[in-house]
Amino acid sequence: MPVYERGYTHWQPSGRRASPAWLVIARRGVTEPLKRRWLFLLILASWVPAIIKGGFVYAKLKAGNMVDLLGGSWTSIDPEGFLRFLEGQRFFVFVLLAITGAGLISTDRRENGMSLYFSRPLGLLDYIGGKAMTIVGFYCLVTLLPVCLLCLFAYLIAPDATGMDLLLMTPLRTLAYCLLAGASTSLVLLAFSSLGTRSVFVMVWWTVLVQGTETIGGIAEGLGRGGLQAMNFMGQYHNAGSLLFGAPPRLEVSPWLSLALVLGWTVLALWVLRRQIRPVEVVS
Amino acid sequence: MKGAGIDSSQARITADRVGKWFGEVIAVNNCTLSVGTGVVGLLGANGAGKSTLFKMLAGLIEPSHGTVRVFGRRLRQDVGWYRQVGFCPESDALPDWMTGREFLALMLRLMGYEKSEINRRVGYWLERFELEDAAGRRLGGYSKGMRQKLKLAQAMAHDPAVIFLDEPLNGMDPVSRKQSIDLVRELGQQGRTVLVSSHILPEVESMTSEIILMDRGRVLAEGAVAEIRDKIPEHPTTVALVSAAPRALAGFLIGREHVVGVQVDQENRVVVSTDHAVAFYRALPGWLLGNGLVVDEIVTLDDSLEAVFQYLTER
Repeated sequence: MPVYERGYTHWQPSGRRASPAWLVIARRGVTEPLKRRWLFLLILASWVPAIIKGGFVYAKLKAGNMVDLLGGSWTSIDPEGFLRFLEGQRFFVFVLLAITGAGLISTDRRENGMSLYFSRPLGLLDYIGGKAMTIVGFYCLVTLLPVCLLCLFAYLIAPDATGMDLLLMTPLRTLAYCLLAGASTSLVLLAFSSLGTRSVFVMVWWTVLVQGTETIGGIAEGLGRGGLQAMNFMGQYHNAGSLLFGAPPRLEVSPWLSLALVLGWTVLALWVLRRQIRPVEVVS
Repeated sequence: MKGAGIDSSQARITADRVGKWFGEVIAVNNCTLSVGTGVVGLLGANGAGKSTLFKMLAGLIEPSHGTVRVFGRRLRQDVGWYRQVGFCPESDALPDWMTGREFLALMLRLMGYEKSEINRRVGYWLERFELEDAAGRRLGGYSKGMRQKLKLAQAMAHDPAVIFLDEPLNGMDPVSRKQSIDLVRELGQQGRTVLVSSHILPEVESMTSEIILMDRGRVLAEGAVAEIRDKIPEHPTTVALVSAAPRALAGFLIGREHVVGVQVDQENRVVVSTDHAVAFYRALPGWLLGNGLVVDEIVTLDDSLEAVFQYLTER
């Protein structure tokens, strides 16, 4: 009988563990940046639009549709209004994700930390899942959470006027949207992070992807070349989101095409991550 | 069973015709080996392929061909078994922005321990490596020796049965080096498997006499140094005998079985070359007693790890 089965029963692996590995990684990824005080200020700043919208919601429910004239559909409490709100959060999403996500894998690579992670009982999915959950967490902090609180706020002010659709369906739509957009965005950012060892370069590429393609999309719109708006990275998420929120498309591109593009980026990002993440760095 | 080169059914770590190619370069070529309990040194010069083999054995590099098993399992396909494995990488691998305590706690949390157990183990291992005073400091401020000790601590803190240590004493001061060597030997005596990769022969020699010797991507030998030494016929073992009558002893030994050469050196010792050291040692007392000869001291001159290494690698 092999030695390891003969007298070392206490060395058999136990199936029970306090927390799954991905949760340990995600928790670490969320708590570490929060030690920086200025990040709290940024998160607070990202909540200012929600507070303003909350004010409009209050005024609308008390003063009627006259308020819509002030803020347009951004202030409305129908599904489209919340999709517009999510779209308006894109700057904070861009900045917060760049700060918290750029170094998630590149730092591990720079510090040769992969071998320490992968000599623990965790697989590639745990590692990527934990890192992605970190980004999704921050994403939801500036999108899903304010929307849910706004819906609750509106319902509490005027339950009869808002109804269960606002209390239940809008948060569910937002949840589905944030899971889709958050997961896809986080995987794309992680793929960038896995390509280098310096966070600053990851941030540069992230900026080019988000701001650069948005600029190109804007120019294309100005030139009347609506089809080129398919290059707008963040725009595709909002455009695909119009399917979930039952709103008109945000771009001159079919929302289904946007959804296909989003899924395409996600698959590409997973492919890059699968190739780039190795337990040890191999120098050729 | 203890050591290297044992029956593979009794081994904790086995490699079966393992090879690794990086592009057109072959780093490890068709290696087969088995490791049981105790401390085993994986030796080789820089570029011998030991680092690649070491990482393949730890499940961190997928072999191009062949299979590696630890506890009969392929670790990367059965990651739960990593709870029984400790790994200390050669590279620095520590996040500068974490404190020593945070780092060790994170490593244990990934192993699945609960908070109270993590605190207990972190406290024990920080004390064991005399790092308690620096526990709250960021790792960026640690010296190389302190970082090395913390890397060793994270490899041992979860009480693994198999421990991989890649150049474990790098950058340590003499006192820490001695403590770490004692700890490794202690772990081996407890019945754990400790595989130590190093290119510093005295370092390995101080921990174990069981070795796996690599050169140019191949395993040249595995087992106890003395046994390997005996299997190198082109380099007879040299033994020095200290006697009050060296010339008489030398004359007697000429032509005896397993004696291939005899001379008296400048220190008046009788230096005997033997093609079978074990048989020679077995026969020597009978020869001496039967012929009224006295030997005060016996010293084997070239069965050291360094000699074995030189003979096998022709360096």
